[in-house]
Amino acid sequence: MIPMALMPIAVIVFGQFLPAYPLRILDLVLLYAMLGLGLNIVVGYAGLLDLGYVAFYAIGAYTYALLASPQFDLHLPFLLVLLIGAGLAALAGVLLGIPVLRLRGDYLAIVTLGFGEIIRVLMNNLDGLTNGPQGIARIDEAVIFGWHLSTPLDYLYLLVVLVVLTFLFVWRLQESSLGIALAAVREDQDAARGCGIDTTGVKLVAFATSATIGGIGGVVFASMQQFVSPESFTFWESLSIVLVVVVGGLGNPFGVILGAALLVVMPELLRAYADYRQLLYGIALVLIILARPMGLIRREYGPSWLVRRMTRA
Amino acid sequence: MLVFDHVTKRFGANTAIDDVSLTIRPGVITAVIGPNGAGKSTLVNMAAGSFRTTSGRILLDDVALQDLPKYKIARAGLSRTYQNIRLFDGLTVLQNLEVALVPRSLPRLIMQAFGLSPGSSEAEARSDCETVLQRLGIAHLGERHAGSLAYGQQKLVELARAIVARPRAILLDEPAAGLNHGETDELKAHIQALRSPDLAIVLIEHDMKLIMSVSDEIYVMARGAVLAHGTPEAIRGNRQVQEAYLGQPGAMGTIEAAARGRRNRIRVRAGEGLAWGQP
Amino acid sequence: MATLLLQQAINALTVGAIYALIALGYTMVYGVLRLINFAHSEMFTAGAFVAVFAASLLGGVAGHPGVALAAGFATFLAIGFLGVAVETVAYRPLRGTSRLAPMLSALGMAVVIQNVVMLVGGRRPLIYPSFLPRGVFQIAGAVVTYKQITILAVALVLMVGLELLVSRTSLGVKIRAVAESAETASLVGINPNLPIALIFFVGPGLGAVAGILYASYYGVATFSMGFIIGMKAFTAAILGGIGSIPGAVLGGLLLGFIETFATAWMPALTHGLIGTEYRDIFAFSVLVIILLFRPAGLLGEHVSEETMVYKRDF
Repeated sequence: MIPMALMPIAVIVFGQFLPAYPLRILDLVLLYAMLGLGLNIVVGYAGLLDLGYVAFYAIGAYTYALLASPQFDLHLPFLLVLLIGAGLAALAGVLLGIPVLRLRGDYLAIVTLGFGEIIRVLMNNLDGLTNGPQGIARIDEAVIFGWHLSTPLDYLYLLVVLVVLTFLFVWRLQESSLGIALAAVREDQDAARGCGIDTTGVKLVAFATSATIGGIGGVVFASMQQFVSPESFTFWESLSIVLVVVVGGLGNPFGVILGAALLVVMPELLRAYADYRQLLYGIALVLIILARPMGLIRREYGPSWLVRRMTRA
Repeated sequence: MLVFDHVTKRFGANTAIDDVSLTIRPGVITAVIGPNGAGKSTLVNMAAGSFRTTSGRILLDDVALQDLPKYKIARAGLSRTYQNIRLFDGLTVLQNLEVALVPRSLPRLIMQAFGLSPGSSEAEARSDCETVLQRLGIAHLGERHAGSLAYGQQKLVELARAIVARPRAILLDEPAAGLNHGETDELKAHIQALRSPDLAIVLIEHDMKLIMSVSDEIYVMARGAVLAHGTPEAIRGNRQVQEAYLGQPGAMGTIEAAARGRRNRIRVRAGEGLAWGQP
Repeated sequence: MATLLLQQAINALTVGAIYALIALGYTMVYGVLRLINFAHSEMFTAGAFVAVFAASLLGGVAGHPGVALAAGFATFLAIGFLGVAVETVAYRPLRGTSRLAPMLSALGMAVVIQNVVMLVGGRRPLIYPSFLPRGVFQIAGAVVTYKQITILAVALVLMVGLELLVSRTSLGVKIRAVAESAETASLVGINPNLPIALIFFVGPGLGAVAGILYASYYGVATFSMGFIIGMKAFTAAILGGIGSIPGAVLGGLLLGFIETFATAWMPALTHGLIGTEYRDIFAFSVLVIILLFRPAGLLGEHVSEETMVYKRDF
C-alpha cells in the first residue's frame, strides 16, 4: 500500500515546484487518468469497445456550463452540479445501454461512436441552449465548502483527490463479484451466461458506472477551463481516452495512469514540430501498439498484485 | 428431475430431434449415447438454452426451461460442461469457479462493488470454490490461469465450475473426449462421486467403457429419436443396439428405419429384453 | 411532386452508390479478419488526392475520358498497394494478439495517412477538377447529370467485377474459405495471407475510386473528408449485415435514400425543428433503430451463440 499512497503525495509535492503551464498539463494528465479509469471499466474489465465516451464527458461539462454560468444566469454550487452531471451522464449511459448492450461488441463500438457524434451535433446546433459552435464562456470557478478554486494548483489538489477516489473505486470494483462477472463477460460471454450471469445487466451496470465517471470528469473540465464548446468533444477526444486505456494497459489502473501521462505529454513534446505533430503522434501510436499490443503494463500487474508483492516481501 | 417432454427441434427442413421424451431422475447417472448426428448435443444445447425448442417442454423440477434465457436456466439449477472446453482462459481457476457463484441480484452486485454490503458472501463463495477444487484434487491449481493448464486439468476445472453452484441437474457433454486412460479413470471416479440424491446427472459420451461402468440408466438415440432405454446390462445384452452402436454393416439402417420410419421405440428394461413399443 | 421524388431518388442513388463502394471495403475486411479497418476512410480521401496527382502527371485535363480512366486505374492500383502495405506493416504482426490492438493500430494508420494527405495536399479545401463528363439531360422532368450516370455505371461495373472475383475465381473461393474460418482454411492448405492481401488490395482500391467519384461529384476535396463519409459507409455495411457483400451494396443504397429523403423532408415535417444540419446523424439514428429489430443487419445471417467464430467480443 505504501508506494501507492506515496504517489499522490509525490504528485502534489511535485506540483508545488511547477510553473503554471506545465502545471496545467499535469492537471490534464490527471483528468485523462480519471476518464481513462472510468472508460477502463467498460473497455478493460467488460471487454466492450466504447467509442463514444466523450458523450458522457460532454454531458457533464455542459451540465456545469449551463447551470453555473451567465448563460442562463444560473450559478448553482459546484458540488450540487457535480451530482447532477454525474446523474445525467449515468442516465444517458443507461438509456443508450439498454438497446445497445444486447448487440454484438462491434456494433456497440459503432453505435457508441454514432452516439458521441449525435451529442456533439446537438451541442453544435441547439443554439438557444448551448450557444452552438461559439460555446459557453465565463463559466463559474468551482467553490467547494468555501474553498475557491482558481489556480491550476488548486485544481491539481481537486484532481488528485478525484483520481485517488476513482482509483480506489475501480480497484474495489475489479475485485468484487461484479468485477468477476465482468471478467467472465469479457472472456466468454456465452459461457458466462451459462454460469448464470445476467450479461446484459452487468454490462449495463458497467456502462452506467463508467458514464458517471465521465460525467464527473466533464463537470471538473468545465469548471477548470471556464469555457466549453463542441470542439472539445469530437471523436478524437473519445479516441484519445480509448488510447489512454489501451496503450497504458487494458484492465490495469496503473497502466491507465501511465497511459494518460504518456498520451497527454507526448503531443505537448511534439508541439515544436507544429504541422508534423499529429503525423508523429500517429506513427508513435502504431509503433507502441506493435511493440506492446497488450498495453504497456499487463493486466495482471495491477494494484492487487502490487499489494501481494509488498506483503510477501 | 430433468424431463424432456415431447421435444422436437427442426433446423429448417431438417428435423434434428423428433418428439423425444426423456426422464432423468436425480440420484442416478443417466447416459445418452448414440452415433454422431443422433441429436445428443442438440438435446443438451436445448436444455441449456443455446437452441430454442421447436415444440415440447423441458422441465427441471417443474420449472419450464424451454423459454427461459440462458442465464435464468443456469439460475434454475441446470449447469453444464462443454464438448470443447469453454473456460475463462484469462482468469484464475478460483475466479472461474467464482463466476458461477456471483450473486444473482444486480442491486446486490452494485452494493458490493461500492463496498456498501459486507463482503462475507464473497469470502463464503471463495471457500466453497476451494472445497470443490479439493474434492476434485486440483486445489493446488487455484491461482493458476485457466488458459495455462493442461487439457485434462481444464476438463476438471470445467467440471468444478459446473458443480460449485450446487445445481439440481448437470449435463456432461463428452467429458472424457481427448483424455488418456489414466485421466479417464480419474474422471470416472469424480463422476461417480457426483451421485447425490438431489442431482440429476446426464452423461453424453462416446467412451462405451466409461458409460457402461458409471451409468445407471442409458438412453440410446439415433437420428433424432430415442431408440432404446434401459440399464447398462440390458443395453449391453441387446444385440441390435450393440450392433447399431458399433456400426456393423446393415444394422445401422435397420435401427434408423425403426427409429424414424414407423416411429416405434425399442424399450429395453432389465431382464425384459427387447420390446417394440407402440407408436 | 412526382418529379421531385424522382429527382431525389436519382440523387439518393448516386450518393448511395458511393457509400456502397466504400462499404464493400469495410465489409470484406471485417468478414475475413473481424477488424473494423478505421484506416479505410483515409484510403477514400487519399484516392481523391492521388487521382489529381496522377492526372497532372499524365499531363491532361481531368475531364478527358482517357485521362480520367488512366488516372482512375492508376489510383486504384496505388491505393490498393497502399492498403496491402498498411496491412503488412500495421495489422499482420498483431494477428492473434487481441481484437482491440489491430483496431487501434488501424486508427493510428488513419491519423498517419490523413496527416500525410494534409501535408502534401494542403490544409485548405481543394477545388476538385471533375473526372466525370459534364452535361445534363432530363427524365420526366427530373434533371440527371452525366456525372450521376457515370458514377452509377462505374459503381455497377466495379461491384459486378467484385462479385465475379469472389464467386467465380479460385482466389475468391480462398477468400470465402478464409472468411469462414482462417484455421480450417489453413488446415486444407490455404495460406491465409494471400486472400487477405487481396482483400486489402481490392477494398482500398474501391474506396479510392469512390473518393474520386465523391470529390468529382461535389467539386471539392478536403484532407479530413474521410472521417464522416467512412463512418457512414461503415454504418451502411452494418445496416446490410456486416461481412456480406450484397449487404454492403444494399446498405449503401439504403443509407443514400434515407439521408437524401430525411434531409429533404425532415425540416418540413418537424416545422424546422430538425433541420438539414442534422443530416449526418440520420444515418446513426436509423442504424440504432434497425439493429434493435434485426441485430444482425438486413442481410446478415443470424449468428447462433454456439457457432460464434470467436468467443470474445474484443
